[in-house]
This record gives sequence, structure tokens and C-alpha cells, in this order.
Amino acid sequence: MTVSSIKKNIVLGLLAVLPACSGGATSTDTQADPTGGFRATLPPSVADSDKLALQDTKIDYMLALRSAALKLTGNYPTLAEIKQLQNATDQTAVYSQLIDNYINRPTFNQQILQFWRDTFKMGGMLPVTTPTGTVNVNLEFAPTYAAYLIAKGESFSKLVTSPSGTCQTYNPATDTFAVAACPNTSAVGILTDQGVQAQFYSAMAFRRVRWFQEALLCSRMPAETNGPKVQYPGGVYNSPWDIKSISGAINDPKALVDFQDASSLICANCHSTMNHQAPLFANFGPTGMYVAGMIQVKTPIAGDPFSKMIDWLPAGEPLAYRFGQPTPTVKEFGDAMAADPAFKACMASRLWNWAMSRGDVVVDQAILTPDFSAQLTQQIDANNWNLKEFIRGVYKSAYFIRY
Amino acid sequence: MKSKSGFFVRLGLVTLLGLVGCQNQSEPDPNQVTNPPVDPVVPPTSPGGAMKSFDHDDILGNIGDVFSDGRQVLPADGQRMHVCGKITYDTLGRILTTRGIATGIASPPADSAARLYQTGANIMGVANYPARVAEADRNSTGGLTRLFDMFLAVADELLPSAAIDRLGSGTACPGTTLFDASNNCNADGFACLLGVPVSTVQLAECSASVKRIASLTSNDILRAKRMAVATIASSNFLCD
Repeated sequence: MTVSSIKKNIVLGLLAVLPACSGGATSTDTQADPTGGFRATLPPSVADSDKLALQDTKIDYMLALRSAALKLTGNYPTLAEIKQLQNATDQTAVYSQLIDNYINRPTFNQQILQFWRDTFKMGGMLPVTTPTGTVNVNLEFAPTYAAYLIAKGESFSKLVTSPSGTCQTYNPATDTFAVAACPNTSAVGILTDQGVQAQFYSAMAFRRVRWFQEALLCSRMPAETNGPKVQYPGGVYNSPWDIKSISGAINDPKALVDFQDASSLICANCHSTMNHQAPLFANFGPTGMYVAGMIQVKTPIAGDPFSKMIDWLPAGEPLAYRFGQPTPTVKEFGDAMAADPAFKACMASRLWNWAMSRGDVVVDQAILTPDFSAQLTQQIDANNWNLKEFIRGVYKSAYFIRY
Repeated sequence: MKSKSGFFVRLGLVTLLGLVGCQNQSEPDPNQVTNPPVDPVVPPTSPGGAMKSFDHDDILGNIGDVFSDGRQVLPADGQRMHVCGKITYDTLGRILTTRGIATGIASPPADSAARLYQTGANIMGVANYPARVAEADRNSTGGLTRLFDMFLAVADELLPSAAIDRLGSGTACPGTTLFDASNNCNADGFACLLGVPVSTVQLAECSASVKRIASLTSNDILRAKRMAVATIASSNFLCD
């Protein structure tokens, strides 16, 4: 038999398996009218399998164990684990024990670290070319710190607030975390991490604040849309900020970037928030290093000049996390983020989607309803921001074990 | 292979896989409850966020406040993803390694599972962090094709000869084999390979299929067993 013929066989097999997966054909199925198209030729239990699947409330601990093992251990369950659960007289109890066992293994720490690498889009080293040579920036500290907080059961709000211990290393061979010296000494969680700042370096620090919004708050800009609607030729402005609170041609016809332009689109819907945040992160350079008193990002116009505060905001305008929440320092910015319900809901959504094999909450719009999100954040509250316990609860939840 | 025998082989596999696909669904579930909680779904009620914002990524039309729009993944999609999520590249390597296929060896032979695995990292969607790209959370068509090819090689390598069955040479199920001495499918072996137990009906059909295929291929039992393994493994691992 040739390889191509084997492939044909497998294609046919796969075609057969897909409709058969849900609902389960029974001996009472009958042939439908063949004139009604392909679907109509299928037995009802196959043709309607997608509808039947939605009503299927069956608990399947064996499938749940496989899915849990994939996420929590990075492998399928072993045969011994499969048989232990399959032969258990109390599957609920044995499943629960196996989940606890998975979470207590070193492989869990490796898996949760990988989860944060993918969530943050950071890992390994980033070579950054500078006038004096190439600087290799560590992109591991931020995801490792997130993994550390979960592995140790510490409050996950430290991710954006902790003043120390934020540069962690992890040795999978010994399953040990260790604190390293942070290149940027005045730490505020991962917000000041050299790797974060280097990885998301861009003109006027906008990529950095966009990353904070998307990775840690789980929504795209615009972040604030609760202002009065004002009609402009280019659309509706609905940020709570006065449009004059950011730089642009309305305030100064010679502004380098016209964030107030509303002729064909409304820049200020996003930039009213971004411009009040970005200067907080402007002193970090291309290699992510902080330079006190010196803006390190550039304004994208001819000549590529270093940005000045007037490029973002009119004189006297406060730096702020949100409208009405001034945050003159990164520390206060981190505190505001930690207190934002959206941060908690974001972490709940990300971990839920991971467990349920769903896509990214931002990129794939795999979002949760407000009610369901509230249920999950209540569990985070109940566990006092201990996300390890939250994860344990997700994998044992009534939702997770149903297929 | 002659076309007539090929037809019957395919027919047998279709039957085999149809039953495998129905895994665990025909047996009553003692734990079934009548009124379980329901993962809530509210259809879209809002067109998204601010009107006419600048579309930096060409996908801004679908933006909105994640927690106020009341949208989430459709239930059918959610259920499919829950049972059939993409297996990450590293995890796939560990699954195979612990089941007798050493994916990490240096300079693997051409067309071997290890070579296909090692050269398939990009097509299977590994992360590129310097480019700010995470590992893909869904398989691409190319990635599925590579998996397809890999499991053809995996079947050959798990059963390199009539007398050798390498599944149990890994740590996941030491000493376990895919087939017994009578060439019947072994429940423990397939449970180990697939990560879940197979039902009695599925197991019987698996064994019958091997014999059917063998009878159509000059009684080539080894080829029949390899085909059964490749087909069943592919339907399991290509689920996404």
C-alpha cells in the first residue's frame, strides 16, 4: 500500500469520525430523504448532532482528566492514572485527588510558566541593537514572576505592585525559583521590568500602554468610552476626557502629532487615555533600561526626535490611569490597575480560557459574559488573589468536567 | 494495492473510526445530572466600542468592552474546543516520547516521526517571542497535515516488526502493548496512546478491523495493525 492510499484511507476515516462524534448513532436511526441534500441523508442523531451536543450534560471524568493533564502536566495521563480513575468507585473523589496531584507536581510550574510566556508574548532573550553593540535583554523575568506568584500561592495583585523580588528565575531540573537582581532597581511589579519595556518599546511608549491594556486588562483600546457622545466629521468622540486634554492642533496648530484630529477618524478616543499614561513609561529606553529624568522614546516625525511632554499632553495636564484617577508615578499606576475590577476579571478570563482550550480573550475575542465573569472573580476574592487555588477550582468545576 | 481491496480497506476504516468517534457516548453515565449549571451565553447586543476609532490592526470593528458587551464564545464552539483543543508543540513531543517515540533525538532519520516533529515546529505554530507572537492556540491546515504525516511514521515506529511493540518502552505505560499475541487490540495500549479508555465496542471493532484489513492485504497483519494505529491516532490528535 502506498503512502497516498494510506492517507486516503485516513481522510475517509476522519470524515466518518466527525459527524459521529456527537450524539452517537443508534440502531433506531433511519435513512432520511436522500433528495434533501447531504445532511438530510444522515441519520437524525448524526445530522442533528450539533444540536444534541449542546443539550448533552454528561459528566465525563475520563475526558476531563485528559484535558486537565494536558494543561496541568503537559502530557496525557499515564495508563496508571487512567485506570485509577476508570476503576474508581468514587470517580469524583479520585478525579479531585488527581487534579491536586497534578497541581502539586513540578510540571505544573513549568506549564504555568509557559502559559504566561504565551500570554505575555515574552520568553528567551531579545537582542537589541544599540550604538555600542547588541544588548541581550531577558524576556523571562516577567512570565517567571507571574508563574512564581501562582506556584507559591502569593497574591497575584503583586504582579503590578510588588516593589521587590520581581525578577525571578526558574530551574525546571530542580523546580526552584530564585530571585535575581533586577536591571531596573525601583520595581513596580512587572510594569518596570526591563524585558517588558524592551519587548514593547515603540514611538512615544504607546506599544507599552497598549500591552498593559491588552495583556493585563483584556480589552483593546479605547479603554474609556463612557463620556458624553460628541459628533465630529470623522465620527463620535465618547471618551470622558476633554478632547483638549491631549496635544493636537486644536490646542496648538504647531503640535508635532495631531491627536485631536477628527476629520476622518477620532484619534482621541484611544489617545485620550494613552497620552495620559504613556509618559509614565517614556524614560525606559530601547533596551528597557530606566533613565531618570530623561525621556528615551521618540516622536515619529521627520528627524526622529526624542519625545517631549508637550507631544503627549498640554502643560499642566496630569498623568492618569483613567479619567479622574491621576497617577503621577508608576507605583500609583500599578496600584490603580491592581484595584481595577477589570484586572481581576482579565486574569479569571485568561485562566478559564486556558482550561477550556479557548482562544485568547483579546486576539480571539473569547470573552465571558458579565455574570459568568462575576462568578469567577468572586472565586478569586474568596481565595484572596491566590490564583493557584482558583485554578484548582476551575479544573474541578461543574463546567470543566462536562462534555 | 488493487483498487477493489483498497475500497474495502477504506470501508473498514470508516466503520472503525465511526465507532471510535463515538467514544464513551453510547454507554449510560451514572454521574449524569438532570439540571447542571449552564455556561451562560448572551448573544451580541452591541456593535462594539467607540465609533470610527482608528483601526490599527484592521480588526477594530469588533472591539468592545469585554465585560459589558455580554458576548462570549458560542456554545458549540466552546464545547468543541473543550474536547478538542490544540495540543501544544512541546506537549505533543512529551506525549510521544513517553509512549515510545523519541522526538528529541539528534539527527533523526529522514521521514521519521522525530524528523517530522523537529522540522515541523513552525508549521505547528510554535511561539516567536522576539516577534511578539505566542504559540498558536489553533492548528493551521499545514500543521494538521504535518501531524497527519507524523502519525503515519509513528505507527511504523511503534510497530517496527511483527514481534516488536514499542508503546510500552516509554514511561507512560511501561510494558503495555497495542496488540496482544492474537493481534487483538489491547485496551490498555490504546488508552495509553489516546489518553482516554476505549469502550468494549470500540475495542472489538478495532480488532475486527485489523483482521479485515489483513485479509484484504495478503494477510499482512503488521501492515493492518499499523493502519489501525495511524488511523485511530490521527483521529484523536487531529481533533482540533
